[in-house]
Amino acid sequence: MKFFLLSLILFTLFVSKINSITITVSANSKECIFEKIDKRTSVTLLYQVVSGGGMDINPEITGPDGVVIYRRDREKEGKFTFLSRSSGMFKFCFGNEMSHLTAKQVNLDLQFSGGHSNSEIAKKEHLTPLENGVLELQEQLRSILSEQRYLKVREHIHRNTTESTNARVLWWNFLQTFLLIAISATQIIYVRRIFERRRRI
Amino acid sequence: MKICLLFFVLATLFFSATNSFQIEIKERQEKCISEEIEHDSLVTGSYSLVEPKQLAVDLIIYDSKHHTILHKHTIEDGKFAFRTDIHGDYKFCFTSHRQQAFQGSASSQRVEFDFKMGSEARDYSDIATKEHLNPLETEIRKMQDLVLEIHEEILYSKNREEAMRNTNESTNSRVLWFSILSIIVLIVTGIFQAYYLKDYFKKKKIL
Repeated sequence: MKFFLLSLILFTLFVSKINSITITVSANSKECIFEKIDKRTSVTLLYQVVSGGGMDINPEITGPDGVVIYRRDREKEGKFTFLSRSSGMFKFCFGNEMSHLTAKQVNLDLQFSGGHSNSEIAKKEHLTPLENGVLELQEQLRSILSEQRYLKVREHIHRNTTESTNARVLWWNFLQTFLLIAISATQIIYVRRIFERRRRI
Repeated sequence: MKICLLFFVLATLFFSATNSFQIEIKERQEKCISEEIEHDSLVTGSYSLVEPKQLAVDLIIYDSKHHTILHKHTIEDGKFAFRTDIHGDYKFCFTSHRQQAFQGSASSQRVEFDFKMGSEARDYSDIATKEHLNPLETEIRKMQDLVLEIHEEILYSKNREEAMRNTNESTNSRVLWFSILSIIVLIVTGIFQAYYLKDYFKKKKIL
């Protein structure tokens, strides 16, 4: 019973931790999130640009030794998984250098799994099928929650685009109608002026 | 039984303690982290200044209507907890002021921050002792709450999708009717122009 409990408790430490936040990167700058990660941890970074300008960002992941693990240019969204080779402070940076005016909002989701001493896995043999089932279910539920969070952000972005399109259709059409009428009025006045000038001369 | 509970408590503490990240704040700068949170949701979190302590930092938490929920001046190590009233984007902002630097003339400060919302924020060791649940039952209880949360989020997404669908259908019909309006206006102004000029020349010729 004690072994089971110990392994159950310690196993919960294995289960992926979910950490999802939205940060704002001002124009011409870079924002970084620092995270202390143990070695042999599987790290997954999921990022999406929520709003701002061209909706692109320059992500960069740097390890504790200063080596760049991942770098992309002008991405709208991405997912990257890596296994940490050493323990230490990892840097997750997002650069908005390509934009001189608009700030960008980036949503990032960091997931970790594993990473604690592997000797605990051996104790798994003491778990009954029921306990195993419960732990697996929990793992699945957390991954559902993580997918749901991703979809939530996607939906938010989508809704912003839709509302912007709807407003644009209205206002640009008003402008178009107004311009049409203004242009034909201008044409008539111009032609009149030409003939009036001719008459005077 | 006591040892089991102790292990459990320690495990949940350990589990929650290692879920934080750090951000760097420069002098006279404000950095905000925002997150969309449901209404009537428990939010807990902890913050601490990473050694060396160089700048004085304030923590301000804004709700989705930009009202201040919490304002802690010159934070050291601490925790916070609140329950949300409305759904929306909540902002956790860290501001640094130059005047109150601790010592030295360094220009940046690292702050370690961590927050949890909804079912993750709940203290299950507390619930376990109150309802006399063994660890397996507590895990199942955790899952129950998680499933309820997932269900609520799906319902909310459903409503949002409906609102978006209405907007899309409105856009669709607007594109059609406004284009027809533009064509009509174009034809009408064309015909009006032609008749007006014809009239105008007739008038001029007579005169």
